[in-house]
Amino acid sequence: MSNNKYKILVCEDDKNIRSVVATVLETNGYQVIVAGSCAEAEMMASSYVPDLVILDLGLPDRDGTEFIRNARSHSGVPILVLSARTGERDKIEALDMGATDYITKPFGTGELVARVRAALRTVKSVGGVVSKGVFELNGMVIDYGRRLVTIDGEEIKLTQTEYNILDFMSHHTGQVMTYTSIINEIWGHSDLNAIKKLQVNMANLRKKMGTKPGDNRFIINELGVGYRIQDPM
Amino acid sequence: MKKLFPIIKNTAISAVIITVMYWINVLLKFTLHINSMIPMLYVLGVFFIAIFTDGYFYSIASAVISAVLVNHMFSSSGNGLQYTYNVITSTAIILFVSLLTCTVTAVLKKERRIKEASLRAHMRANLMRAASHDLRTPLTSIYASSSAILDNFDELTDEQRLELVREIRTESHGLIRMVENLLSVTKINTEDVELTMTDTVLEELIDTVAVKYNRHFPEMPLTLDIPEEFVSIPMDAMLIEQVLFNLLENSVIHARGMTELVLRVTLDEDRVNFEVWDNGCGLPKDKPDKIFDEYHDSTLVSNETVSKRNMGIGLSVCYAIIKAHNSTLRAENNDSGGASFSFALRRTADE
Repeated sequence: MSNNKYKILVCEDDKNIRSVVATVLETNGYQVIVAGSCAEAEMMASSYVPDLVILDLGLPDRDGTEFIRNARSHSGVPILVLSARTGERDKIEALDMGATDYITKPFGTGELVARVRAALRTVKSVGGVVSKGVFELNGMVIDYGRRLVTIDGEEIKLTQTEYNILDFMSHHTGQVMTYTSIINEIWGHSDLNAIKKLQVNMANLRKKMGTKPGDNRFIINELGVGYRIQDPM
Repeated sequence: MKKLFPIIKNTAISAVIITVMYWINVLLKFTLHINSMIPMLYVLGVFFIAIFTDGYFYSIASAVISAVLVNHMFSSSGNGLQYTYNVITSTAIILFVSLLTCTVTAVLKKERRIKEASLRAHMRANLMRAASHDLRTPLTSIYASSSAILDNFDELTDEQRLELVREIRTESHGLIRMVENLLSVTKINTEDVELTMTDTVLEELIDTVAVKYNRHFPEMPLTLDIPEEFVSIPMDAMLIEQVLFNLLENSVIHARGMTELVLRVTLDEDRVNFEVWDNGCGLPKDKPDKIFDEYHDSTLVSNETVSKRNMGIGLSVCYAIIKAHNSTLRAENNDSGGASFSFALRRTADE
């Protein structure tokens, strides 16, 4: 069988970037479909049913965010936003609207492939894996069954909330989780001080994990947007 | 809310000034029995109101109120008609003063705006000049390297081709950084500076900067000296991150002989002090702070030390960003002979 490859729809209006992205993905073993506008992308998405969409926000016909909104009304396909908009607000908007991840231009191809891999992995885990088994990353082990976290074999004592945050994030490795998405997951609702509450919890988590600034072994800061747990390769 | 604010502010200013004048008058009248100063003091009050409020409305309204108050104080005697006459006369006088003041201050305010605008335009022009100079260098290199590969593909060895491609990537990185800086300048230099102020956790900010630094300059270790406690500071996080990174990059590129680079943060009661410290060759002895002026002076922009590698734009961006945060970026030489760049941010939101 030749076609057990993941199908990726690349929607980008700039021809150069589109062809570079397509080439990189093809050499990494993915099957690529391309589109140059929002309308074309929607057509391609419905006829080819891709496993992942890479989407530029600044498209000639409509704003890419509309594609996300439409797609989210009927499908859970992971969407990787590729955009020149670098403001925190743009990122948060796209992510909270349902984009899986966000890469700002200019980007390195290594980073692109890593994010694609991470985004594809979420397809398999979404709605699937219950908190069973273990998660391992750089010496940190989360034992979901026993709700236990160890680093280099040493147990670290976490509060309920801290554990829940870590648990949630470890199920979405490689992806940025916005403050809002974490807050909604952990506390179920968000109030005025929710972000502060989350930040304090994260600070305690970092302290317990023994990480110092500049060391992003476990949790990566996306300043002003949220947090990300590195993808265990 | 934004629309309502100036109205509240102007009304408050007017009310306070009139009230103060009223009580001064009451005091003079009943303790020292001086009546002659009453109109003068109200004229003075309206004069101040004209200076400190926007437009004509507040001073005119204050003039009318003052006139009524003046006559109220004089009018223990006299009949109704006389009273009305007096109100009209003193209103006219006070109104005249206030209109005059308003016109003068309006002219002054307008002039100041024009001056500020031209200063901004001047700065932007200089930046564009610095930018076009700084942009041309990496672009030339990218263009030349890629043409070399395309034109002489077969003659070049694999190693040479790799070398050229690496060159292209390095120079592109430089360009990316420069464009980031230019975008920030545009953001700051527009009429209404719009900072996205968010409460930012100090540790997360420093972490982000340190991660980025380590990725770019793995060969020069960065020492962090920051407080343990949880501190949240209102700031435009992306811009401050850029300032810190630019300052660190500046040290790496310019501080010759540097063996130690420190990013230090200390806490005061109401301020957070940031410092980028190196033990390199230091800044020009005569006047370290001058390093910022150079970017505002067009004749010096093409100066080699300034425009070398992006820093012409980099440092002036830092300066502008810190200024937009109502603070000042300072440059000085430290005890080790190296350079120190420092600035302070308020721990709580302004107002």
